[in-house]
Amino acid sequence: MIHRAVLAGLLLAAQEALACGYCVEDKVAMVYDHSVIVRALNKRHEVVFLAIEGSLAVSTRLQRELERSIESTPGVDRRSARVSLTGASLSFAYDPARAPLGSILRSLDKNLGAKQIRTTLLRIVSENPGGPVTKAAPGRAGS
Amino acid sequence: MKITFAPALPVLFLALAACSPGTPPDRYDLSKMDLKPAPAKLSNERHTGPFASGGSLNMGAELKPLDPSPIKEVRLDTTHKIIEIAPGVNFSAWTFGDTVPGPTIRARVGDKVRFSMTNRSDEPVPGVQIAAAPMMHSMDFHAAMVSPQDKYRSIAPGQTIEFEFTLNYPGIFMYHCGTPMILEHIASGMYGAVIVDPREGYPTKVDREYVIVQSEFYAKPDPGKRKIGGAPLYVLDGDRLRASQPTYTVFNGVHNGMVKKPLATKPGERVRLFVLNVGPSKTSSFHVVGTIFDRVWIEGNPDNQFRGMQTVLLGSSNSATVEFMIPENGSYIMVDHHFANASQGAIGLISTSVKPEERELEHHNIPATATPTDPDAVAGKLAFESKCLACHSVGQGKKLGPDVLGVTRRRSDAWLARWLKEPEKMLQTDPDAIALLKEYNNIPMPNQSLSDAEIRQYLNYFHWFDAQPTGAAKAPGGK
Repeated sequence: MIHRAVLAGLLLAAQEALACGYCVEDKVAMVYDHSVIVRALNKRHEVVFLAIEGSLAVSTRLQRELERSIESTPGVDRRSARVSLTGASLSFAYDPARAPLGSILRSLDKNLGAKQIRTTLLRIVSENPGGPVTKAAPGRAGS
Repeated sequence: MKITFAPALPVLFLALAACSPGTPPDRYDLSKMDLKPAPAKLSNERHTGPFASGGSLNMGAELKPLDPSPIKEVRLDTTHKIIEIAPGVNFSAWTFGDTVPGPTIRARVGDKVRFSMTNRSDEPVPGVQIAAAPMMHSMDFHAAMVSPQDKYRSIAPGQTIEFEFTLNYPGIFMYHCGTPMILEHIASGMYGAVIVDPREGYPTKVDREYVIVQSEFYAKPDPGKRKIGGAPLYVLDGDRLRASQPTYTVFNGVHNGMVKKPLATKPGERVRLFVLNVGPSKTSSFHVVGTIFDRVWIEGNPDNQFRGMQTVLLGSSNSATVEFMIPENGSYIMVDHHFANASQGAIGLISTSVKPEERELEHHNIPATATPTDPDAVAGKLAFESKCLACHSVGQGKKLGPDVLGVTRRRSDAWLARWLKEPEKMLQTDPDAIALLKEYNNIPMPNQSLSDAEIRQYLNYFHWFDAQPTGAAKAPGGK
């Protein structure tokens, strides 16, 4: 089962998301993988959920390309990328001690920019019980 | 003297209209509805104990009397568990309240539903180590008038959501999980019914009330070949789901469930059925063989009334209340008159006898006493019981056609496969086929247009029952 602090994180995130549109939880649910979250939190890593913006042709090939692109970004945990082209969202786990989220997202946008794709932050799931659990990356607006 | 009344007439009409005792108040006066529910609350306080609770919940087809409390406390937690949807078909389901369908909520117009739900999809299933991975879930009540973004948001495993709403319209309303992919969540079992009685009660009195929830399952053997107690695990077949090709269409969650356990009635009684077609993708032509619907209230609202109907057509998430008389002793057959659906299990009985009928009724299905576990044999058994029992039995003697027990010892697989594929051609040339026709009063074996895969399933089933101990595998015959 998930640690209570994580639940609190998800709750806070859900409440904050209400001002941003009706589909935030749906987008998160599309790429929510319980095993990724449990694995990440056991290592004190974090899991981030992003909305995908851009013209997407739904195909398994593109999904695999995006997952590879995400996992090749420095700081991202291997085998943690989840992409839903139908839901236009993605998630991955990362080690904040190795790479801050801001730098990961800048690298990711650079990688995905070649495919005319941008991302917008939806959620961050963190095990940090005292600190903020949802945060926007530097220079980016949270959804 | 001339008296003119004309200027006073409009005032007079208005006064009469206002005072007229014949003008009923508008039951749907929006200004009197509660349309300002409190915001939903999210917490990480996990429910423990029962997965469903509340005095207004009904766990089966038979409905309890209405709970008079104006506030209905309803708790329906989400779980992942294995359910048996047909003999030998153990399906990896997602549930509300640990049942499929979820419990039926019964309330009345004006009542407030105070709802809470913990996502317990991450809890281990007692005794079973195989269940779907934990995931986010949500609740969408069609009976409510609320902001979906507030009340119907998806919650993660371990989270609890609480919200309340007032019931403003009478009817039979679906509830379901609204988390993407919604189609998969509904097809995995996350649905149920809310029955909302009119504020002043129903205009008729009945002797029995039952709820019937029709739904589809799209199941395939687990590609990982996992097993439950030695039997194959079945999982959601996404390809069939997206193509709207169900493997089972059922009433109240079980293939032929109410054939095995008929609903009780007596001659002369008036029966009220609350019928909901969940879908998620098929319509229902709901019919009860042997009677006529005296009243039909579309969507369960007495204001939407028809009289003397034979069948009621329900799209996905449509409902109707039907009332009818039981004229005499017998078993009255509830069926989706779209018989492709009925042959997949959407069938049940309302019977004046306590025990299930021993005899077959028309071409409808009767359970066998033993069940294969091989998926092909299971499919063959279900197909045989749907299509063949009118003319054949398994181990119970001749009918219009031969008893098929022992058929794999009497005939080769190649002969049987050809016989099932093109009986009309064999009747022209094959001596054994011609002899059978003569023995059975020149009643020919019909061509059922079976595919090669279906024929293989039949043969697997035939081989299965021929391998059983004597008397273990019986499928009773029809008339």
